[in-house]
Amino acid sequence: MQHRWLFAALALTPAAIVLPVHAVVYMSAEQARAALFPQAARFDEIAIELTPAQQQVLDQALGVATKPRRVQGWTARDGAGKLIGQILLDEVIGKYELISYAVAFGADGAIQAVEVLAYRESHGQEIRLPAWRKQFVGKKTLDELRFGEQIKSISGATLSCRHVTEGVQRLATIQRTVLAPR
Amino acid sequence: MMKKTALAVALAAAFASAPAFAQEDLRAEMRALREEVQRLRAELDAVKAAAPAARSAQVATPIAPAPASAQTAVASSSPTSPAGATVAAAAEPAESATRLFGYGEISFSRPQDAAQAQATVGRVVLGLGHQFNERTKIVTELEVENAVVSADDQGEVAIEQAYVEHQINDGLAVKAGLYLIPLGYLNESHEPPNYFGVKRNFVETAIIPTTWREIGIGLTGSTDFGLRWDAGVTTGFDLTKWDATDAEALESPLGAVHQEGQFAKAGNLALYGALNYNGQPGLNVGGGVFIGDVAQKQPDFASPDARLTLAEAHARWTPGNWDLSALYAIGSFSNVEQFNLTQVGNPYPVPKRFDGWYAQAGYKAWAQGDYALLPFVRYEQFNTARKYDDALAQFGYAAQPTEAVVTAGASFKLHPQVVLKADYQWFRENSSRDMFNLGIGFAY
Repeated sequence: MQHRWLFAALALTPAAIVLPVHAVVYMSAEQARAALFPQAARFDEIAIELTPAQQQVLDQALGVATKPRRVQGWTARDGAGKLIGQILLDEVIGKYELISYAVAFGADGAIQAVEVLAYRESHGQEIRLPAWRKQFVGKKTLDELRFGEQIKSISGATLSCRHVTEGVQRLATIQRTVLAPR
Repeated sequence: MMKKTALAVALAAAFASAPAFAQEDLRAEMRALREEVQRLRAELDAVKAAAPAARSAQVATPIAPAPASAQTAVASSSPTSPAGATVAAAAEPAESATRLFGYGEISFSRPQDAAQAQATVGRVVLGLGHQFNERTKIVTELEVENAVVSADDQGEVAIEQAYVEHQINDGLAVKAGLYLIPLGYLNESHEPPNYFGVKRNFVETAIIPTTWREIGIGLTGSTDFGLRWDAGVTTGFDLTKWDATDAEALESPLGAVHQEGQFAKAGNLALYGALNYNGQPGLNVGGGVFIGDVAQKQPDFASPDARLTLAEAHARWTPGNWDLSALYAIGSFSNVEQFNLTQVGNPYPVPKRFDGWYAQAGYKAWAQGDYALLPFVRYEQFNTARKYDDALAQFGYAAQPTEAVVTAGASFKLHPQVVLKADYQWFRENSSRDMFNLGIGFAY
C-alpha cells in the first residue's frame, strides 16, 4: 500500500522525468562542434600556448593585460580539406560561477555562433536565448563587440553578460591575430 | 571515471548518428576519438598525480569574478582537453567548487542641518557559495550593517541568504531555504554597482522592503522565448509585531513587520509569483505578487484574518548609452480594522493602502577602458499610508501626504564593480530632509 503512494508521489515529481547526466551542462563540446559545423568532414584540434609576442599583440589589441591561457578548439574542414571555420572553447566566471561556452568563426573570421555549453548561476539563464547570442553573429572586431553598445545586457545578469562578452572579444582577437594568419 | 563515461556517451552518440555519416567520415571520427582517449588518459593520470596538491591550493583561493580575460577559475586552471572541458569540470566537483563573493557600501550624508551629517559603513556582506555537483549548490550571505555590533551599538549582523538550489532540468530549478523574494529590481540585485544613487530608492525600501528575504521553497523556470517565472511558498509578515507608536511603521510598513528568518511565525504562509520577459536584449518587462495572511494564528490578535497583498510592475530599457527604468508598487492590508481600533490614540495605525512609483534615467556620458561616468536622475513618489480604514476617520486619522523626491547625481565607475557615487536629493513635502550624499560601493 505504502509503495503505491510512493510510486504516485514519484510520478508527480518533476525529477521523475528522465534527466540528462548533467543538468546544467547543456551540450558537450563535441555536440556543439557537430551542431555548428554539420558539413565538416574532419576537425583538427587547436591546442596552443600563445608566445610572449602573440600575448603582447593580444593584450595591445584588447587594451588590457590578460592572463596567458591555452587556446583550445578545432579547425573544421570539408571533404576536400578546405577550411570551413574554427571553434574555440572557453570558460569565464559569470557572477561567481563558471560559464562554459564555444564560439564558431567562419572561414572569413566572422563569428558564426556563440553556444553556451554550461551555465551554473542562479540568474541570467537568458544568455542561452538565441536572441541574446545572435548579437555576436557576423561580428569580427572589438569595435563591433562593445558591451552595452552592440552587445546588450540582460537585466539582473549584467556580470554574466559582460564576462561572456569580454571572453568572446578575447577569442575573436586571438582568432584574428594568431589563428587566421597561420 | 566520469571522463570515460563522457567518452562512452560521445562514442554512443557517434554510432547513433552513424547512418548520417559517410563511412570515411566515421573512420575519421573514430581516429579522432581514439586520439582523444589517449590524451584523456594521459590527462587523467596527470590530474590524479596533481590532485592532492592542487586541491589544498584551491581551497585557499577565493575566486573573484575578474574580467573574463583575467579569470583564475579553479575548474579551468588546469589545462583541460577541449573534448572534456565542461564535462571534466562537472565530473570533479571538489573543494574547488567553493566561491567567495561579497559587496560593501560606505556613505556620507549631509542634510541642511550640519548636526545631522553622518558617515557610515552601511553594509559589508560576505558570501560563500558551494557547488556540490552540476545540479546542486548552496548560497550563503553574512551581512554586517553599520560597522559595529554590540549591546551598546546600533549595528546588525544578519544572514541575508542561505539556500539550496537544485537544477531539475535545463529550464527549471527549485530553491529552498532563506532567499530573496523576486519582486522589483533592487531586491535580488542590490549590490551598489547595480543601482544609481548612494541610497537605495525609496519605493524599493519603503513600499517593497529592501533585501527582503523569507524562508520557503520556490521554483524558477525559463522558457525558450525569454520568459522567466518564479513561484513559491514562504514565511510571511508578522502583523502582531506592529508598533503603532513607532515611526518605523511609517518609514516602511513591511520593514517594520518582516521576520528575516528568525523564529519566523509560520502559522500563515505566503505565496508569491513573478514574471519577467527578457527575450529582447536590452529590454526587461515584469511584475510580481506576494500575498499572505499576517496574523500568524496568534490567539490574542484582534484581527485574525488580517492579510497583506503586495504587487509591483517594472520595466527597464537600455537603448544606446541610456539606462531607463520605471517601477510601480502597491501594498494593501485588509481586515485590520479591529486591530487598529485597539490602537486608537497611537500615531501610526496599520494602513489600508501604501504605494509608490519611480522613473529613472541614467546615461553613460563617458567611458574609457574600465572607467565610466554615468549621470542619472530619478523622480519618485511614495506614500506609506495612502489610505486608512474608514472606521479611523472619526478619530481624526487622515491619510499621509504623498512624498515626492528628485535624486540627481552620478556614478563614477573605476571598474564595472567598483563605484564612487555622488547625488543630491530634494524632498517636496519635507524639504528639511534635502541632502547631499557621497558613496563608495563595490561587489566582487
